[in-house]
Amino acid sequence: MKNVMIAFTLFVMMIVGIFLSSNYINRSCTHLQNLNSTLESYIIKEKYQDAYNLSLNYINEWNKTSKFLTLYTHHEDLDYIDTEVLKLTQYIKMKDRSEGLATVHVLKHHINHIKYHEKVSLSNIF
Amino acid sequence: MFILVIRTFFLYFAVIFIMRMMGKKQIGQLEPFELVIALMISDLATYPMEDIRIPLIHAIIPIITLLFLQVATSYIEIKSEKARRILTGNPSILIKNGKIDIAELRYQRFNINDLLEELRLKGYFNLSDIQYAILETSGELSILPKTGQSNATKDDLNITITQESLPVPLIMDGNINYKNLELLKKDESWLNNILKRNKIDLANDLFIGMLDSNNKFYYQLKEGKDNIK
Repeated sequence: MKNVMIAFTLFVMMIVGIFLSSNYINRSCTHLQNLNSTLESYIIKEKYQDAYNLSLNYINEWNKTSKFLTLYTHHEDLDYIDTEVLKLTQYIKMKDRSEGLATVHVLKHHINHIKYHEKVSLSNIF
Repeated sequence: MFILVIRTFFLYFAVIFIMRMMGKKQIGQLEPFELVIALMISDLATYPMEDIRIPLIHAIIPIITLLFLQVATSYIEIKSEKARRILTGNPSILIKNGKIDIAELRYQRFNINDLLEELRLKGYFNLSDIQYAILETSGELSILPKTGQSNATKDDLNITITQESLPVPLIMDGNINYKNLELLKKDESWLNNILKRNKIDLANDLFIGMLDSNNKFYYQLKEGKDNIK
């Protein structure tokens, strides 16, 4: 009976943990997506200084978030974003509009991918 | 590289903990669903062990879920006869009243050679010696031999005997087991008297010292001290 209780408690704790973590991942991804949209609009409007400052801010935000995400997400997914973020700062610095926009778009896709993986959906189950 | 060692340590103890939670039966005879779970757990633990890109939680979550499922299934099996039948099946009688049930043998996809082999392994070489042979849900074959073929017991021979008790180890590798002494309601001076009677100076000289099932003190000295008494 003790084992039943331990197994049940572990399972409940795990479910609560998953629920809280999924919420955190969703919130973090939404925040990063907002930053991506702002970055995109800065690049479109050619406000490169603002875009550069924001991209540095983005790196800081990403470093903080990715520390936590490594617990749940396949590290390869995070590595892609690490690389793209670093590229982005340099594209913006060099005022490369097309590469900058393309990188932001890729970032958006990768962040969406992480968020989508946490979703309880039929396509994720099967 | 060091991370791999840490992850392996972590997963090793996590799997041991989970297997212990699943109960003793897991180690010995496995029911079909238990076998599936044991295989799944071993596989789940291996991938993140060797690939540091996979978060450990990706192994821990399914393992805990499997533990929950296994414990829940076992619990339901205890409570419901129907669930027990669905999940583990029923034992099948392969030999009934000394006659092979060919239909059942076919249904279990057990050929005659398998049956004869199992019987031989159990020490029965003649089919005519068997009254009942039952294929248990764990895959083991249990046999009830014909009355004339079964071993004679002490009751059959009307031999009067006293019930044997469990042997109790009192000294292991030179260390006195006080818990077992307490269990026997004896103290260290009682043990020292026994040692003195057996001409042993110190408990530390013994590799093993125990009260056997006939309440006799059996001991073996440590290597280089003396021979077995």
